[in-house]
Amino acid sequence: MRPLAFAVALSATTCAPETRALPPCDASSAIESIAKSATVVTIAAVGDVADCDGGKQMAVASIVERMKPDAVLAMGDLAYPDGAIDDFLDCYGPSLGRFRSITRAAPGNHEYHTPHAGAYYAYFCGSSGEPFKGWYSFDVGRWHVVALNSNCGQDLDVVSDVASDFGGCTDGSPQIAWLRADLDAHRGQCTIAMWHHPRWSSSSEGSSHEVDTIFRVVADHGVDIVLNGHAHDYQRFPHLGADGTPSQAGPRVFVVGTGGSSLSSFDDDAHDRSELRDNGSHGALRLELRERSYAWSFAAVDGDPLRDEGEDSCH
Amino acid sequence: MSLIASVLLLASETAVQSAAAEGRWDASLRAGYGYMFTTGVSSLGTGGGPSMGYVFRSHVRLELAALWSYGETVRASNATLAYRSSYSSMHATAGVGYELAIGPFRFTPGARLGGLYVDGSTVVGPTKVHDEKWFPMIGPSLLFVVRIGRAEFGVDGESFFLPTWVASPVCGVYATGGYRV
Repeated sequence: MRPLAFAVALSATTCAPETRALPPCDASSAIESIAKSATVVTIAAVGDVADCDGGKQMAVASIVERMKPDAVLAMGDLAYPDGAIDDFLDCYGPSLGRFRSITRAAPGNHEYHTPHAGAYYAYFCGSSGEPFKGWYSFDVGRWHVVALNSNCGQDLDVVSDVASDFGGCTDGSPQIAWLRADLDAHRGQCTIAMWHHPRWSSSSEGSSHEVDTIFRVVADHGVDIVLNGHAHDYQRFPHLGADGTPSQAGPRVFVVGTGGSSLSSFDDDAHDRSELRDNGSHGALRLELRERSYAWSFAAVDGDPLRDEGEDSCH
Repeated sequence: MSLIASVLLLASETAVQSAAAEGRWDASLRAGYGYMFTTGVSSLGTGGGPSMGYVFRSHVRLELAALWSYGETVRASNATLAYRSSYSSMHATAGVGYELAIGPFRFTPGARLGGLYVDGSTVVGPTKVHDEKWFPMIGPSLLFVVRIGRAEFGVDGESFFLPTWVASPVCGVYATGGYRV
């Protein structure tokens, strides 16, 4: 076969790529329209959501809808298996995607199955982190929220130099420098920090030592709540200090990897620091953020048994 | 002597006789499809390239091969934002196998070692990242050809493990056609 004919045949076998339609980028964010004077704000928090190979994301979305949240915090691994644009549009979109205009997300490791998590940044129109960095902050009512990129290169299923996209998670990195400055600028404000990989977890996915610096900075700056995903289960921790031991000065930590993907096992009992843990229920965490306090309740999908609720105060 | 041993002995004798009569060098072209697991944008897909090999009297076959893959392009956009991610690749391998012959049929199970070069870019709005990356690769292969005179036609299958991209194995199946001298 002549070279030109071969090239034509080769290109003909590969269809021209279809351009998928992204949802529109909102001109103004519904989250930013929440008045800073608002004394009560309702948040739905969840990670590890839409599994294109079958999952409970539609049931979780119904639960979130019932909460009537002012904002949705999504802690990564939002569209399985690969965080591709098709995964977001076809699986995340019909479920938690209905809350896209009030969602702020942090990237998970499955987002990085797609080069540079490009589909994640495109789907959220850059409102969940500047491409390709992934860290940012915003206010919701009187509370401050920081979102971080915890893909520090430790996962086996990502290209080994993902961290080079944004400089990693160690002291001296741009993200950590930004985090310190941002938390310093918002001292005195009730604060939530969210990222994907939990520093402490007794789940089969294990604890993530590579986010140790992130956790230490967060703990040292008096952050009130840490929200994580990655572990496909629910774990509620007490206030933890920078070294992971109970300390009222540190944040209360929640792992809420119950957004729809299959649940995982607890096989690291030696590192269980939780007050409560459960791997039998899908659902989302409802946070009611008040002026200087908050209330939490885990809302399980219909038929799943977990119930957990409580109240606490800001530092 | 067992039936299996008899078949193997006959095949190897046939291969030796064929090799002596028809030469041991072979050259071919491959075309087919490669698949990359656990990735949202594959740098394999449709591809093709040349291969050449030499079969020793011991039936050991050494080969060198190169393959260019068209890869994949993903696009999505709305009125204000465009996303495009496009990657292609080339891989070159050296392989060793053992040629088993049964009449005109040649089976060569083996292993290949080489490198995968991925080239491409991802664009989200005004922000673009260009990538050029090398990955070492190692894995098994299976070549099956039918000999018609000095011409050979068949199927070449390969599967690779990329040590620096642990959970993303790749595999490919290619039609092959060539000539043995």
